[in-house]
Amino acid sequence: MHLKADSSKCTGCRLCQLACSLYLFQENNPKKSCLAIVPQFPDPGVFGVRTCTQCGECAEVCPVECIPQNEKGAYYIDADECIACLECVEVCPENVVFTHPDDEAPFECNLCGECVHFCAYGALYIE
Amino acid sequence: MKNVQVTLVGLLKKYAPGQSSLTMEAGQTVMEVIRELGLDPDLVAIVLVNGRQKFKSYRLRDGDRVKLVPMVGGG
Amino acid sequence: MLNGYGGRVLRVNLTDGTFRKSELDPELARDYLGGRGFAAKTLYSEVEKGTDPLGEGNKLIAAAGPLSGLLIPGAGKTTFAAKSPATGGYADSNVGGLFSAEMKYAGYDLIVLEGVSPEPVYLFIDDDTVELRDASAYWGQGSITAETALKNELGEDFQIAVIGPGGENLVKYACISHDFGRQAGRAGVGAVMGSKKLKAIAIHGTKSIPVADVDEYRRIGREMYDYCKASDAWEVWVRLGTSGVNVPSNEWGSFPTRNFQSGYFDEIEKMTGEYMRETIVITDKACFACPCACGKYSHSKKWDIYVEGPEYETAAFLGADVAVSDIEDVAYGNYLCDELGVDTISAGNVIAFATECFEKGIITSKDTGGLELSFGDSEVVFELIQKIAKREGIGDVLAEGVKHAAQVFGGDSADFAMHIKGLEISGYDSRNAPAMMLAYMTADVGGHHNRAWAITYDIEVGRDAITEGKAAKVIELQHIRPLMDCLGTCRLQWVELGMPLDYYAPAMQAITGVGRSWDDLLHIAERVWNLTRAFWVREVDGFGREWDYPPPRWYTDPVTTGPTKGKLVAREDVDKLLDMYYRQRGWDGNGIPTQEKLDQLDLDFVGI
Repeated sequence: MHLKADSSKCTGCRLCQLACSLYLFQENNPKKSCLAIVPQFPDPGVFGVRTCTQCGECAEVCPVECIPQNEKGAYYIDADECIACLECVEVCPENVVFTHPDDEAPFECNLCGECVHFCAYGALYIE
Repeated sequence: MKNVQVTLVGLLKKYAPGQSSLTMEAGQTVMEVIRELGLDPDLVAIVLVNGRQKFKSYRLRDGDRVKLVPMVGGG
Repeated sequence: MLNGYGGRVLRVNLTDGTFRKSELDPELARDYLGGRGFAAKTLYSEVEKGTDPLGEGNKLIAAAGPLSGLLIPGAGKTTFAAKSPATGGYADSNVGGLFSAEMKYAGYDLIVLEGVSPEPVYLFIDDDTVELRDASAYWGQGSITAETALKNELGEDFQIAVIGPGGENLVKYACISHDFGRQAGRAGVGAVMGSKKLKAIAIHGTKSIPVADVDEYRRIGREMYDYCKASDAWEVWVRLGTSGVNVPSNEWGSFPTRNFQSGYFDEIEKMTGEYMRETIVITDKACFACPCACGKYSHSKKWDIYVEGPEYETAAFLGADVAVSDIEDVAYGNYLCDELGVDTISAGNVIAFATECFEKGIITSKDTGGLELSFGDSEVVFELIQKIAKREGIGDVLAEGVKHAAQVFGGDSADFAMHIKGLEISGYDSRNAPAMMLAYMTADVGGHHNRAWAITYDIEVGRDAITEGKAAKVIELQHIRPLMDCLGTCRLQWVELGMPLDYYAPAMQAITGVGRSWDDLLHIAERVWNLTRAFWVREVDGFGREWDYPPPRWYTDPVTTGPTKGKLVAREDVDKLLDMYYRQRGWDGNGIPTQEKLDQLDLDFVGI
């Protein structure tokens, strides 16, 4: 089970990112979210969406083994244990382990589903 | 045979109380339906038939689903 | 730390290349909220009386509101404002997209651009880093080209506001473009940017916006989004965007056609929203955090161009008003205006005006450099757009707007130069909609629809009626809609999806921590409205009732065709509407705010 995107339905509004940061950090800050919107304008005029596939490569590479799975099976980074080596960021094939200047530890999708709830266009789903 | 589904959206319900969703006969135009409901045609901004915008002169066919949408506040 | 705000004001002096950052004044936030409120206050207080709009003394404002960048449907509006080079009065024009959200994430609510740069520059803002950078490589480029180039250079996460050649060449209705197809289009804010030799603003921010009660704010925000998604108007709004209005506007007889000779265009089949959706639209494109994307991003195969739109206003002015009937041709005209950086509303209006002058023999091919102007000739429209943006030949006259062009062309052309206060009228013929006409007459930037849109009210209470209620409705709308511009959010969730206004006061309270009722917020909107009026009074000699009249065509020339054929609003009715409106506003018979009204709104610094 992981977060999937039908990018043809994405309108680039970034509400998913805002909702994500509010859930994860209780902050208004799309730069602290766990999915990426990739606008391709002016040509071909579409949005790309990158989401975590829960492939687990981040967990495998983590030297301090601080990327366990939660009850939904989603990998999450335990910020208290993290040594900020950023190996997980490097290895992620989708580029969806994120960092932010405010935080030492990276963060990634925990399958909370907030983005899915808010997306009015049905561009995001979990399956 | 009444087999066209007509739905009034938003403030149009106010102008045709108790008729927010009803079935009408095919063969007539959307304009005729609007007049039969007692609505001012100018209040019906957008006519959707099976999810597509149509002119009010569109003649209804069997099984059409019609939504009459008002324009509240413009651009 | 001011909840709901980025918290800082950035001032850039382009003349000497210096910057000043300051804390946002809590009293400014309290009394003017943000967005156009900040803009109006700043312009009134800081731009000296008699300032040349294209000179060093004018200031260009970019302002976000307290809702911008937050979990509120449509909270992606940015206000750009200045003393208008088109009208000489107050100008603000707002643009959707992602700009104001990014301003707040970088920690700024207000950017004030002062002076004139000696060389072309762009303003680079990355959180706390602010630089003026050489823009000589971008100067001369089209808006879309330059935005693409800046994103390639700086990164996709930078949000860009940019002018095209129209702004560089000081076309009086040049726009500021953003996000590949959104514009702060009206009243020449792009020309002010061009006069400052500022090609673009590029901004990126990584900060969080503080809110007072995060749980309550998220709860209200969620309800607002859930309401929008469940609205039964959602489907059609997202399918067609504003182009869905093309057909009803035509059926109302309000679709400007052949320079407003008519309100009905009989060749609309290839210009309906549905036709557009089926033939050219490729992507639904939304502003920041908007659940009802009205942006229709299109690809015209005929011209091989990408363009956002054409939205309603552009269909009206690069379509019906110049009698061009194929959406692909409208889209190409739209693309040219966007790339060249001129407002489609004013550009189409000016071209329609010139065409009528040509057909009536007021100007000839000698004036046009050999160009034969006729309604329905899209090639001529394309040619004129380019001449305007480059100020070539007749384009140099047309670049000044219809008011000026009528003075140059002479004859009786002033009677059908479709402007109010020097700003070309936007897309609703109002000869059978007196409330809408009054809304245009009294709009605080000139002939623009978005301060109050009243056609539905005209229809509801009787289109011919001249009533106190119509004046009251216009005033009510002129507070609600501009309030949205103060808050930094879009009105369309309320207007088109029927989202109740009741959400906004509690949302504002949760976000800012300041308890205010909806009426308290409207009181601020009224303050801002009167302040912009005072700006006109101060800046325009002899300003008053004369400036509020519509062009003579609207009270002397009946509509020629369509459902409103034969209609007009007689001059005496125009006066009645103004009398009612002034009285209800607490203004004198000449349309000047009374001292009593100013006192009531705590505008004690305003001297009239």
